[in-house]
Amino acid sequence: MDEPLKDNTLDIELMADVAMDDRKALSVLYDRYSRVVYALAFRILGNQQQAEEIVQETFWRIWRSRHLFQTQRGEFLPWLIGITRNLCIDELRKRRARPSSIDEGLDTQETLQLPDTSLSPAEQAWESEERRRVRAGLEELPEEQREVIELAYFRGLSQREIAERLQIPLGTVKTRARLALIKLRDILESTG
Amino acid sequence: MNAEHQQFEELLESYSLDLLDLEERVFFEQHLYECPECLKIWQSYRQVLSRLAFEAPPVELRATLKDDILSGLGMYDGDSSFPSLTIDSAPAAPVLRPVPPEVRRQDDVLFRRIPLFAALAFGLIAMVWATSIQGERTRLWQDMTSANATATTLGQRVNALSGQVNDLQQENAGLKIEGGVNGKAINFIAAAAVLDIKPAPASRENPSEPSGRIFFYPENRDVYVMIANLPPPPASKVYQLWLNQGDLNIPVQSFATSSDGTAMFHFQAPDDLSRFQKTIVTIESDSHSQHPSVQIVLDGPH
Repeated sequence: MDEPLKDNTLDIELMADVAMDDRKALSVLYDRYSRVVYALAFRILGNQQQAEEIVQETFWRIWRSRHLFQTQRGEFLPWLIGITRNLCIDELRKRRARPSSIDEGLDTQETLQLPDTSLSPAEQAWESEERRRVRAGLEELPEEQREVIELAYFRGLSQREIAERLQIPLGTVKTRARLALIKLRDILESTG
Repeated sequence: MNAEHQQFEELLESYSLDLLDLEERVFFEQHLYECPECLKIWQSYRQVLSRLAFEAPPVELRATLKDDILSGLGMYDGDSSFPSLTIDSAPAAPVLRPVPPEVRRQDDVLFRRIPLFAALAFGLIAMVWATSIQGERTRLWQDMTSANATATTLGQRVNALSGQVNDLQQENAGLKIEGGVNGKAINFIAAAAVLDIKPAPASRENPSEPSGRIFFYPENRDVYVMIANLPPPPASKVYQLWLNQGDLNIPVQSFATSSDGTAMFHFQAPDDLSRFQKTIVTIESDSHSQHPSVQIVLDGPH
């Protein structure tokens, strides 16, 4: 597979084929995005088994809702990542309801950071570059804004929970979230 | 840019990061589908946030996972938008339709057995006595005819009673509907819009399939929903009704159906229903779900 990742036109075409019950198209989408989905799920949940389950459920949901995806106006990647993140956050919230298991079953990142031999050199280069851009963008944010993004996006905390955790007023959480997202968008859009 | 719009615009980032509580969220989404400017900004944030997924360090994925996922797709084939009903073994509600007399007669056990037993009993007696007492033969025959007639009458009465039960059941069902939600009478005819929500097209011909009907009153945005033939949700799950507009799904009401597969409830729509593309019913793990699981059991266009 030599096509660049995150080509929305190609994704939409594939999704249109998926809507026609084409499993091969889903298989291609899996090849393009399963690693990102898995990495995000593992980043949020810290558990290999649960991250695998999230990947499975994400692609099953895409299949189940294939007739609902609006190819005329939709963007595939935000939709896919939205499903993945929502599933992860739901799982995190379930964990919080079971306090004893908050840190149970967490796998260490080191044991899982292995080279992905299934990637073509072009894909590896693209993913690596995208990762560098996103990390650089996050690093450009002031510490307190980056912290809000981390707690909201990767930990799934509500604004009230963030305010309690950081011991800052609710309004400050909103302000920091607002400034962080505006700045991050500007940075990422300028770097491609 | 007016002050109200600016107020909404300041919520865009919190909304994109899922930081708003439910009330704020519904309030904001109402604005979002009315305001192309905010929608455009939200889509740009959505794009940025999806790119954050690439921040996560790469990890090795189990090679056989893809095969597991693709082989599992079979569970969702056939009626892809309504898998839960095939999984859920709860019986569908009985259809309260009058049974034609000829069909009822065939199914009526009493009607079939009484004449048979009577005929056998009296036939046997007749055979014994008819050989010796010719005079009584006619009387016995008359008795047997009479017994048959009685049995027929009994059968007819059973049929009539059965019909009455059917009528009563229908009447009760009708009363439930006309009683409305919390005893409030509903004038269905005055509804500006009557919308049907149904399972996937393949099964829409079957009258015992789950279905729903929505009655909308634009003057006060009152919406009444009636669901039929939808089995009670699986344990620890609820049904959730959503109003859909493109990528937006506004959670409206969670509900459970009763053992007869029906549910009725009322809610106030955030806007005219024609502003939404469709109504969706999904199965969710809890009543606070903010995003549809897309396990859709019913849907219908507006």
